[in-house]
Amino acid sequence: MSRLPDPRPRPPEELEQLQEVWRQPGGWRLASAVNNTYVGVFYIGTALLFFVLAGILALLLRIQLAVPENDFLSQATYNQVFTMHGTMMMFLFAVPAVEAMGVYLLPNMQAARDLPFPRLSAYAFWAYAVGGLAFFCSLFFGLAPDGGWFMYPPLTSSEHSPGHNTDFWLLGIGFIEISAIAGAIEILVGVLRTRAPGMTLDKLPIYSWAMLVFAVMIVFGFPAVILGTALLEIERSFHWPFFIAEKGGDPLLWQHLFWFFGHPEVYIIFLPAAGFVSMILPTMCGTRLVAHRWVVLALVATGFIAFGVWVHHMFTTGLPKLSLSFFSAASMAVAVPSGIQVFAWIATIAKGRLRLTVPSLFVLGFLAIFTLGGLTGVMVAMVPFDGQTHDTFFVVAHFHYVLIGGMVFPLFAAFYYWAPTASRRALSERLGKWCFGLMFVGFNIAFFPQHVAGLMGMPRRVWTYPAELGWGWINMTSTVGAFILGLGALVFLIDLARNFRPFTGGNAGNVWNAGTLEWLPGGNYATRSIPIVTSLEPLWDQPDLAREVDEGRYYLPGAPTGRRETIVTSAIAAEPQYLMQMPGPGWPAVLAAWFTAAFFLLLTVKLVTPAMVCGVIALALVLRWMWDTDLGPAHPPVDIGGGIVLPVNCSGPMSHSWWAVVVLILVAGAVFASLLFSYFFLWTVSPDVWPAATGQALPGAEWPLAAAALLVLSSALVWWAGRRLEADGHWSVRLGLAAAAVALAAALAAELAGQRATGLSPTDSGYGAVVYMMAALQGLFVATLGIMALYTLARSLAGLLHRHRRATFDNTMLLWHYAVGQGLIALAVVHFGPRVL
Amino acid sequence: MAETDRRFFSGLLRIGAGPALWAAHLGLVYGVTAVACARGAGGVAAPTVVGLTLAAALGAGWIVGRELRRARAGPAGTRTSFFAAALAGLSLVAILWAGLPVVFVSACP
Ligand code: HEM
Ligand SMILES: [Cu+2]
Repeated sequence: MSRLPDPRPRPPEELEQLQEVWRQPGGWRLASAVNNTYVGVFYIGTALLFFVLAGILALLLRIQLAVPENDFLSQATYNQVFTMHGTMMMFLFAVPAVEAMGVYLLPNMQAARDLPFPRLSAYAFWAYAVGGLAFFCSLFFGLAPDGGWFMYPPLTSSEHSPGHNTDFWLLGIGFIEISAIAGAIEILVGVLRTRAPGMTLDKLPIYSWAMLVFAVMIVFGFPAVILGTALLEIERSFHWPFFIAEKGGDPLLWQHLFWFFGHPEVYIIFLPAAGFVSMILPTMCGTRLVAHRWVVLALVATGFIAFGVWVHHMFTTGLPKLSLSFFSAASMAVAVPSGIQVFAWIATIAKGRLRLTVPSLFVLGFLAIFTLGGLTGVMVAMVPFDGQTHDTFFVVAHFHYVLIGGMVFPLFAAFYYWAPTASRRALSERLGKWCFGLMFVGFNIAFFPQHVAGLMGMPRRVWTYPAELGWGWINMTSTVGAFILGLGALVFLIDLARNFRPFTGGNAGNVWNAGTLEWLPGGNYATRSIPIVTSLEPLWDQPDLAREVDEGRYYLPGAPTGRRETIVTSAIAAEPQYLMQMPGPGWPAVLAAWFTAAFFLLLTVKLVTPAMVCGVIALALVLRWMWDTDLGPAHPPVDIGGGIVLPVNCSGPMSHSWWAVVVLILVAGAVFASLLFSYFFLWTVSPDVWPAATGQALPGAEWPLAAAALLVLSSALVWWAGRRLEADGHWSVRLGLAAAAVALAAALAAELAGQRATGLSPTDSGYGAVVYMMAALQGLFVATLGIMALYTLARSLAGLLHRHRRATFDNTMLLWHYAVGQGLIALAVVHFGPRVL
Repeated sequence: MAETDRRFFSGLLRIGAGPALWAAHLGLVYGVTAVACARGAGGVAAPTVVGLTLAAALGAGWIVGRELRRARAGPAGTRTSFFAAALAGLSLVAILWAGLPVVFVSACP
């Protein structure tokens, strides 16, 4: 590494080639761009659009509540509007906004040319944008969901909500969650594997740490709600009674699944925001972050503890008192790591000299508001207090303090702070100060009085209230405050319109004198060359770095393979491992996202045939997109400078795609774990529908034994095919895969046949439903792996699969073994369970 | 698997050990209480919770001790040891804190 920076002159055509390779398509073809700087900006813009739309809905709510006995919105409309407001703010604004910032910022901050799967980001973005807009439009047809943002059954069951409204939520949001997971995989692998050489974990910017924890939390948290939405949709469509108490289901199961996701969700939103603050404050104070290590530790600790508090949303559901206490304790404990961060920030401010710029103001506003929200949070974490304030406006005030204080203010700080990296002009300090002032004052006028309204007994989710209760003046104040807050947001939009000029190929530069790599000069290709990182704030410690990087004196100053490429590094030490070739603009991923969105939306309104057509097209497009991946060693090893020669592309455990599949398996495992939880939960609450009580016959041992044997056989066949691939025995590979697929399907058939033979039906009871659900989940894997096997076969026949180009096979194999493992556990639970329990 | 990847995954296991213990503890005490109360056997809940809490706390304490010894032994991987020890320490506190109510609160409603 010591031979860099390389002082020799660079060949003149090198920069031109780099620019050419990374050129973006113009005009309407811009929509096919996949580069993070483009997709990131579209993504952020779309999230902002949803913020504005959901904000307008909030103002409608506030108008309705401003005076008693108002009839501006009917009760039914009010229900739709508050549900849409909450749902859109959480799923279409907050999570996508922080994810979008990650897509935009991370590669720049880590001096990678792009994230490892650009088309996956593009897919996640378009699926979200198209699906989200269609979801919003359901309001205009009176079809919007109206069961509250957490959609509790039995209110949302087919009996009590027969219309399509609920289905819009279940399928629409279910699908947005999938897009969020796609983004999380991208971010996780991106943070771990595409960093500048030398950026070891202790030199990783805090923001990257925050996004790492964020992505891990999505991977473990979202599957619970994905399973929950699937169960509820299946109950509504096919009458499998997961949540129907008379049939041995339980509505509380939904609450568990929802909040196991729902509480981590607030930290999923908050951690990236805390990451912004930890990046902005050091720059604005001109000093390093105090207690860097402890802040990292706090991020990781929050990520864990956040998964142990979900039951505090269920304090009033009649669970055993002792159980509540466990979660009450954890809920108080989770304030500790947040406290550590707040102290680190305050100490940083104390150590340096804070410049009162717009980003600093928003950070200060955040500290004030979030701390208050945290205080009321500790209050409602006490079971007796919560019993008094549950479902009142006190809670509404609390969660707006944490959400707006903890996420919206830092996000605005981030917009003002990082806008100069994307735009030719920075945003206006003058307008920004107005924006901040209006938002801060408006926010407190709007939400502080709601604590009082709540303590006076005003319930949330009521469309109006009688004048005698004396809540009128509080609500009027609140409404006025909301409009002031809205005005602040409007000022921001004006600022954007006047000053934000992205995609011009240039940017405003390092206007704040920041120390991290996203402030290096560059273009579409990110930075001209990729520096060696030796500290946390390289730009502060190496004054010449920006110039040298821009002159191409560091790694990979051109595009040696003639394509887009970036360096893949090892996870801890960030040693360069191989050069990864990346895709340029293209339609398949974009179109696949549109058709996926169409598939889900058509399914919502029960247009099954057109939905299936769109689904098949989407699948075909995904396969088309995959076809160009797994390039194999397409190019001889290249010299990236500094005496380092790297192979081009890679397969096996070192490759980025292998890591992505590992993450996918974690997601799948979390879905399965949620289902196992559901099984045992239903047994706990309704033993009366279990075979021991009903006398329901169980399948004979021969069925599960046959299924297990077939599963093991299928894994063995895939393993053998892998061995044969090493020897380029192509026909053995093809036959092995095909036979393995048949064995996998046969195992499922054996399980189903065994259950059917006993006369058990999924509509009988909670027991029947959950037993068949285990098989249904396995069925999903059989179908997925069947398609992957066919695809792998097709690649083999096309000559694209061999000893040195086998990532496709390896990834299929990995998922295969996982599916077999999951299938074996499911068999054990379903067949031993009722015999022992 | 490359040596560096192996180091990554083993480091991950060490760092995750404390929090995993905490999660297992929370899951188990919750599960035991739920089942005991649902089956009208509330009496078993408290002693089991006490046992589980002590066991988990001992486990977390052991991890803290081991990682601190490792950190003293040499500079290689001190950072991993720091994180592993700190997270296990935090988990220890969280385990005790979560288990504490068993002293004050009767198990079932
Ligand atoms: C622009 C400022 C905002 C105003 C004036 C506002 C106002 C409101 C109002 C009036 C309600 C309904 C209360 C009720 O009738 O129960 C509500 C609910 C809610 N808001 Fe906001 N809000 C704002 C911003 C946000 C943001 C930024 C988020 C999230 C990031 C958010 C998340 C929610 C949620 C989750 C609900 C609960 C919906 C439900 O009960 O299902 N809000 N908000
Ligand atoms: Cu919560």
